[in-house]
Amino acid sequence: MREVPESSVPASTGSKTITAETRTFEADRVEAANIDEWIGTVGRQWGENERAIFAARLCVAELFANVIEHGEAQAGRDHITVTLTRCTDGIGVEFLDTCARFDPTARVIAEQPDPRASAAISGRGLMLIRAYTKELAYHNDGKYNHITLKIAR
Amino acid sequence: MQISISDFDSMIKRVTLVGKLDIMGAEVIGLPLAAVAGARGNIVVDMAGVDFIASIGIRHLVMAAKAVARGAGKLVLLSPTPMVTEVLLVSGLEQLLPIVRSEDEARAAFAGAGSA
Repeated sequence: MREVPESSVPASTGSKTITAETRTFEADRVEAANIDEWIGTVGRQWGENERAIFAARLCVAELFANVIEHGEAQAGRDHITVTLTRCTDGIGVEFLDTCARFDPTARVIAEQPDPRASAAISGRGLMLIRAYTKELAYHNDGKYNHITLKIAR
Repeated sequence: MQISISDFDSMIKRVTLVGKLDIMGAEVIGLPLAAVAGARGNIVVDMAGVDFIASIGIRHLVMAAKAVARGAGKLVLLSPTPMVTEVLLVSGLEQLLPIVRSEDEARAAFAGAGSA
Protein backbone atom coordinates (compact mmCIF):
# COMPACT_ATOMS: atom_id res chain seq x y z
CA MET A 1 0.00 0.00 0.00
CA ARG A 2 1.49 3.24 -1.09
CA GLU A 3 1.43 6.19 1.24
CA VAL A 4 -0.72 8.93 -0.24
CA PRO A 5 0.26 12.38 0.95
CA GLU A 6 -2.31 14.69 2.38
CA SER A 7 -4.07 16.82 -0.18
CA SER A 8 -3.05 20.43 -0.31
CA VAL A 9 -5.58 21.78 -2.78
CA PRO A 10 -5.92 25.44 -1.80
CA ALA A 11 -9.43 26.58 -1.10
CA SER A 12 -10.39 29.66 -3.04
CA THR A 13 -12.01 32.44 -1.15
CA GLY A 14 -15.67 31.54 -0.93
CA SER A 15 -15.11 28.10 -2.47
CA LYS A 16 -16.45 25.05 -0.69
CA THR A 17 -15.52 21.44 -1.33
CA ILE A 18 -18.44 19.20 -2.17
CA THR A 19 -16.61 15.93 -2.69
CA ALA A 20 -13.24 14.58 -3.81
CA GLU A 21 -11.72 11.51 -5.44
CA THR A 22 -8.07 10.42 -5.36
CA ARG A 23 -6.24 7.82 -7.37
CA THR A 24 -2.58 6.85 -7.74
CA PHE A 25 -1.00 5.76 -11.03
CA GLU A 26 2.39 4.52 -12.10
CA ALA A 27 4.53 7.17 -13.78
CA ASP A 28 4.42 5.18 -16.98
CA ARG A 29 3.14 6.42 -20.34
CA VAL A 30 0.82 3.43 -20.67
CA GLU A 31 -1.21 4.89 -17.79
CA ALA A 32 -2.28 7.87 -19.91
CA ALA A 33 -5.55 6.25 -21.02
CA ASN A 34 -6.39 5.06 -17.49
CA ILE A 35 -5.92 8.54 -16.04
CA ASP A 36 -7.95 10.14 -18.79
CA GLU A 37 -10.80 7.66 -18.47
CA TRP A 38 -10.87 8.04 -14.70
CA ILE A 39 -11.15 11.83 -14.90
CA GLY A 40 -13.94 11.55 -17.46
CA THR A 41 -15.82 9.02 -15.36
CA VAL A 42 -15.55 11.05 -12.17
CA GLY A 43 -16.51 14.28 -13.91
CA ARG A 44 -19.59 12.75 -15.47
CA GLN A 45 -20.60 11.12 -12.16
CA TRP A 46 -20.46 14.58 -10.63
CA GLY A 47 -22.58 16.00 -13.45
CA GLU A 48 -19.88 18.44 -14.51
CA ASN A 49 -20.19 20.05 -17.93
CA GLU A 50 -18.21 18.56 -20.79
CA ARG A 51 -15.97 21.59 -21.22
CA ALA A 52 -14.89 21.54 -17.57
CA ILE A 53 -14.22 17.80 -17.81
CA PHE A 54 -12.25 18.34 -21.02
CA ALA A 55 -10.22 21.08 -19.34
CA ALA A 56 -9.40 18.81 -16.39
CA ARG A 57 -8.39 16.01 -18.78
CA LEU A 58 -6.24 18.41 -20.78
CA CYS A 59 -4.43 19.91 -17.80
CA VAL A 60 -3.69 16.50 -16.28
CA ALA A 61 -2.58 15.15 -19.68
CA GLU A 62 -0.14 18.06 -19.99
CA LEU A 63 1.24 17.53 -16.48
CA PHE A 64 1.50 13.79 -17.04
CA ALA A 65 3.28 14.22 -20.39
CA ASN A 66 5.68 16.64 -18.76
CA VAL A 67 6.52 14.11 -16.05
CA ILE A 68 7.04 11.35 -18.61
CA GLU A 69 8.98 13.46 -21.15
CA HIS A 70 11.00 15.72 -18.85
CA GLY A 71 10.62 14.48 -15.28
CA GLU A 72 13.06 11.59 -15.51
CA ALA A 73 10.20 9.27 -14.56
CA GLN A 74 11.02 5.61 -14.02
CA ALA A 75 8.20 3.11 -14.26
CA GLY A 76 8.09 1.01 -11.11
CA ARG A 77 9.83 3.66 -9.05
CA ASP A 78 7.85 6.84 -9.64
CA HIS A 79 4.16 7.41 -9.33
CA ILE A 80 1.64 10.18 -9.52
CA THR A 81 -1.42 10.83 -7.40
CA VAL A 82 -4.30 12.85 -8.79
CA THR A 83 -7.03 14.31 -6.59
CA LEU A 84 -10.14 15.75 -8.19
CA THR A 85 -12.18 18.03 -5.98
CA ARG A 86 -15.68 19.12 -6.80
CA CYS A 87 -16.01 22.65 -5.48
CA THR A 88 -18.80 25.17 -5.54
CA ASP A 89 -16.84 27.25 -8.04
CA GLY A 90 -15.32 24.57 -10.27
CA ILE A 91 -13.12 21.49 -10.36
CA GLY A 92 -9.94 21.44 -8.30
CA VAL A 93 -7.07 19.27 -9.44
CA GLU A 94 -4.07 18.29 -7.38
CA PHE A 95 -1.29 16.50 -9.26
CA LEU A 96 1.47 14.96 -7.16
CA ASP A 97 4.51 13.27 -8.59
CA THR A 98 7.76 11.85 -7.33
CA CYS A 99 9.77 12.89 -10.37
CA ALA A 100 12.18 15.76 -11.03
CA ARG A 101 11.18 19.15 -9.70
CA PHE A 102 9.17 21.27 -12.09
CA ASP A 103 7.47 24.50 -11.14
CA PRO A 104 4.97 25.50 -13.83
CA THR A 105 4.33 28.80 -12.11
CA ALA A 106 7.97 29.83 -12.43
CA ARG A 107 8.22 29.36 -16.18
CA VAL A 108 7.88 32.48 -18.27
CA ILE A 109 6.27 31.72 -21.61
CA ALA A 110 5.32 33.80 -24.57
CA GLU A 111 1.64 34.70 -24.80
CA GLN A 112 1.51 32.76 -28.06
CA PRO A 113 4.50 30.49 -28.71
CA ASP A 114 5.96 31.20 -32.11
CA PRO A 115 4.63 28.48 -34.44
CA ARG A 116 7.79 28.85 -36.51
CA ALA A 117 9.90 27.89 -33.50
CA SER A 118 11.61 24.52 -33.29
CA ALA A 119 9.59 21.36 -33.02
CA ALA A 120 10.44 21.12 -29.34
CA ILE A 121 7.66 23.65 -28.70
CA SER A 122 8.40 23.86 -25.03
CA GLY A 123 5.81 26.03 -23.35
CA ARG A 124 2.73 25.14 -25.39
CA GLY A 125 1.50 22.65 -22.78
CA LEU A 126 2.09 25.14 -20.03
CA MET A 127 0.31 27.82 -22.01
CA LEU A 128 -2.70 25.52 -22.38
CA ILE A 129 -2.76 24.79 -18.66
CA ARG A 130 -2.75 28.49 -17.89
CA ALA A 131 -5.45 29.18 -20.46
CA TYR A 132 -7.79 26.56 -19.02
CA THR A 133 -7.29 27.28 -15.32
CA LYS A 134 -8.06 30.15 -13.03
CA GLU A 135 -5.62 29.16 -10.28
CA LEU A 136 -2.26 27.44 -10.48
CA ALA A 137 0.12 26.76 -7.59
CA TYR A 138 3.21 24.65 -6.94
CA HIS A 139 5.30 23.48 -4.05
CA ASN A 140 7.69 20.64 -3.35
CA ASP A 141 7.67 19.00 0.09
CA GLY A 142 10.97 17.22 -0.44
CA LYS A 143 9.32 14.08 -1.77
CA TYR A 144 6.48 15.20 -4.01
CA ASN A 145 5.90 17.93 -6.52
CA HIS A 146 2.47 19.33 -5.66
CA ILE A 147 0.73 21.13 -8.50
CA THR A 148 -2.74 22.43 -7.76
CA LEU A 149 -5.08 24.11 -10.15
CA LYS A 150 -8.70 25.14 -10.41
CA ILE A 151 -10.91 24.89 -13.47
CA ALA A 152 -13.89 27.19 -13.68
CA ARG A 153 -17.25 25.65 -14.35
CA MET B 1 -5.61 6.38 -31.86
CA GLN B 2 -5.98 5.19 -35.42
CA ILE B 3 -4.44 6.78 -38.49
CA SER B 4 -5.27 6.01 -42.09
CA ILE B 5 -3.94 7.58 -45.24
CA SER B 6 -5.77 7.83 -48.54
CA ASP B 7 -6.12 10.10 -51.56
CA PHE B 8 -8.26 13.18 -51.03
CA ASP B 9 -7.90 13.75 -54.76
CA SER B 10 -5.13 13.18 -57.27
CA MET B 11 -2.93 15.94 -55.78
CA ILE B 12 -3.90 15.90 -52.12
CA LYS B 13 -3.48 13.28 -49.40
CA ARG B 14 -6.08 12.69 -46.72
CA VAL B 15 -4.89 11.66 -43.26
CA THR B 16 -7.77 10.48 -41.09
CA LEU B 17 -7.23 10.43 -37.35
CA VAL B 18 -9.60 8.77 -34.89
CA GLY B 19 -9.18 8.75 -31.12
CA LYS B 20 -7.19 10.67 -28.55
CA LEU B 21 -4.21 12.71 -29.66
CA ASP B 22 -2.48 12.45 -26.29
CA ILE B 23 0.95 11.09 -25.37
CA MET B 24 0.06 7.62 -26.64
CA GLY B 25 -1.82 8.83 -29.68
CA ALA B 26 1.12 11.02 -30.63
CA GLU B 27 3.34 7.94 -30.66
CA VAL B 28 0.98 6.21 -33.05
CA ILE B 29 0.75 9.01 -35.60
CA GLY B 30 4.34 10.24 -35.38
CA LEU B 31 6.01 8.13 -38.06
CA PRO B 32 3.19 7.74 -40.60
CA LEU B 33 2.31 11.43 -40.46
CA ALA B 34 5.95 12.41 -40.86
CA ALA B 35 6.24 10.07 -43.85
CA VAL B 36 3.26 11.64 -45.62
CA ALA B 37 4.46 15.14 -44.79
CA GLY B 38 7.91 14.27 -46.09
CA ALA B 39 6.45 13.93 -49.57
CA ARG B 40 5.65 17.64 -49.25
CA GLY B 41 2.34 17.54 -51.07
CA ASN B 42 -0.85 19.09 -49.77
CA ILE B 43 -2.51 17.27 -46.88
CA VAL B 44 -5.99 17.29 -45.41
CA VAL B 45 -5.98 15.97 -41.86
CA ASP B 46 -9.50 14.78 -41.10
CA MET B 47 -9.92 15.57 -37.41
CA ALA B 48 -13.63 14.84 -37.01
CA GLY B 49 -12.87 11.63 -35.12
CA VAL B 50 -10.36 13.18 -32.71
CA ASP B 51 -12.11 13.74 -29.40
CA PHE B 52 -9.08 14.95 -27.43
CA ILE B 53 -5.84 16.74 -28.21
CA ALA B 54 -2.90 17.79 -26.04
CA SER B 55 0.23 19.75 -26.85
CA ILE B 56 2.21 16.61 -27.63
CA GLY B 57 -0.29 15.84 -30.40
CA ILE B 58 -0.23 19.41 -31.64
CA ARG B 59 3.55 19.10 -31.88
CA HIS B 60 3.24 16.38 -34.52
CA LEU B 61 0.73 18.38 -36.53
CA VAL B 62 3.03 21.41 -36.40
CA MET B 63 6.03 19.39 -37.52
CA ALA B 64 4.04 17.93 -40.41
CA ALA B 65 2.76 21.36 -41.45
CA LYS B 66 6.30 22.73 -41.44
CA ALA B 67 7.58 19.85 -43.54
CA VAL B 68 4.80 20.35 -46.08
CA ALA B 69 5.39 24.09 -46.15
CA ARG B 70 9.04 23.54 -47.02
CA GLY B 71 7.79 22.11 -50.30
CA ALA B 72 5.40 25.03 -50.79
CA GLY B 73 2.49 22.80 -49.84
CA LYS B 74 -0.13 23.23 -47.20
CA LEU B 75 -1.72 21.19 -44.43
CA VAL B 76 -5.26 21.91 -43.30
CA LEU B 77 -7.35 20.44 -40.50
CA LEU B 78 -10.81 19.28 -41.52
CA SER B 79 -13.72 19.53 -39.07
CA PRO B 80 -12.14 19.28 -35.64
CA THR B 81 -14.69 19.09 -32.81
CA PRO B 82 -15.50 22.32 -30.97
CA MET B 83 -13.35 21.44 -27.96
CA VAL B 84 -10.39 20.39 -30.09
CA THR B 85 -10.84 23.56 -32.14
CA GLU B 86 -10.68 25.62 -28.96
CA VAL B 87 -7.36 24.01 -27.97
CA LEU B 88 -5.93 24.75 -31.42
CA LEU B 89 -7.11 28.35 -31.32
CA VAL B 90 -5.79 28.89 -27.79
CA SER B 91 -2.46 27.59 -29.10
CA GLY B 92 -2.42 30.37 -31.67
CA LEU B 93 -1.89 28.09 -34.65
CA GLU B 94 -4.52 29.34 -37.08
CA GLN B 95 -1.89 30.37 -39.63
CA LEU B 96 0.17 27.20 -39.58
CA LEU B 97 -2.76 24.82 -39.05
CA PRO B 98 -5.76 26.35 -40.79
CA ILE B 99 -9.13 24.85 -39.94
CA VAL B 100 -11.70 24.10 -42.63
CA ARG B 101 -15.24 22.84 -42.18
CA SER B 102 -15.90 21.05 -45.46
CA GLU B 103 -14.08 19.31 -48.29
CA ASP B 104 -14.92 22.19 -50.61
CA GLU B 105 -13.41 24.61 -48.13
CA ALA B 106 -10.32 22.41 -48.00
CA ARG B 107 -9.93 22.54 -51.79
CA ALA B 108 -10.36 26.29 -51.71
CA ALA B 109 -7.66 26.56 -49.05
CA PHE B 110 -5.23 24.81 -51.39
CA ALA B 111 -5.89 27.15 -54.26
CA GLY B 112 -2.65 28.98 -54.71
CA ALA B 113 -0.67 26.59 -52.53
CA GLY B 114 1.87 24.32 -54.12
CA SER B 115 0.84 20.79 -55.02
CA ALA B 116 4.17 19.05 -55.34
